[in-house]
Amino acid sequence: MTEATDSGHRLQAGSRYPSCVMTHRRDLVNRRQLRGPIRAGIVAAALGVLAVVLMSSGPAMADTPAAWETPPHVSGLQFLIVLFLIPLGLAVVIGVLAALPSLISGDKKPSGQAWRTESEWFGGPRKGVEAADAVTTQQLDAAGEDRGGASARW
Amino acid sequence: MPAGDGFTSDQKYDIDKAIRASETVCRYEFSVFVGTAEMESHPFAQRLHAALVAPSRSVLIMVDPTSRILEIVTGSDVRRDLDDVSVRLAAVAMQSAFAEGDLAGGIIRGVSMLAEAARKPQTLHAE
Repeated sequence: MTEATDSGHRLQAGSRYPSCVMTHRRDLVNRRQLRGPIRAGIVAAALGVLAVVLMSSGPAMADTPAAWETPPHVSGLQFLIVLFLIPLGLAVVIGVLAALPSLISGDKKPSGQAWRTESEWFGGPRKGVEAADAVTTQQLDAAGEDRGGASARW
Repeated sequence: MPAGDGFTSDQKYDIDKAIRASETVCRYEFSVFVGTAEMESHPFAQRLHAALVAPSRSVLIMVDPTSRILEIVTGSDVRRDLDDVSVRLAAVAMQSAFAEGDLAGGIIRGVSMLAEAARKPQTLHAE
């Protein structure tokens, strides 16, 4: 296969290609040539920005003006109290206040909560539980033949 | 709603709806008693079951929130389609819902599970 050259005249592949096949080699070379200056420009711009930032931060490193009052000395204990103990104490107080209502009402899961309302019987007889009281032994035996079911506790 | 305060009207409606839907699904009667058992829970549940109109075709679910007891009684006809293993599975599902304090949700779930298990398979090829 004869490859297409960069001569400017023969950008089309030479032989055995049934139709026009173009190479992009020239574009690649042009792009590579362009990359160097772009990269250098970006680096220069970044360095410039860094220099401006560093130069502008100079006043921040200056000494305290002589006209200002001398700040009082803060001991290690005071530092500890203000930054750690007071926030911690506040967190504890807020936590206790938040938990206080449930602590007062004793809102914890008892072993069994009393059913404080009337019994509910969905799909039961109209008489309700009285109908169950009136069940005779014969009825119980008749219903009990080959009865199934399951029990559970929670 | 705390478990001991009874059902709200919405919850009652949902339970009723679940029972009706379950009866449509499997063609058996469902009955749910929620309250304190007046005697030992199992005999009490059996008495409640016997008091139903057609005990052999009925499923009774008794929930005692005070003693935290669940009893499910199935009639003889129901048992042909709903074996005790399926009943136990439904009981476990209800038990876990009750333990989370969801009484109405547990009942609805249990009733639906029982109905699904009791549903007769559709015959595709009739002779």
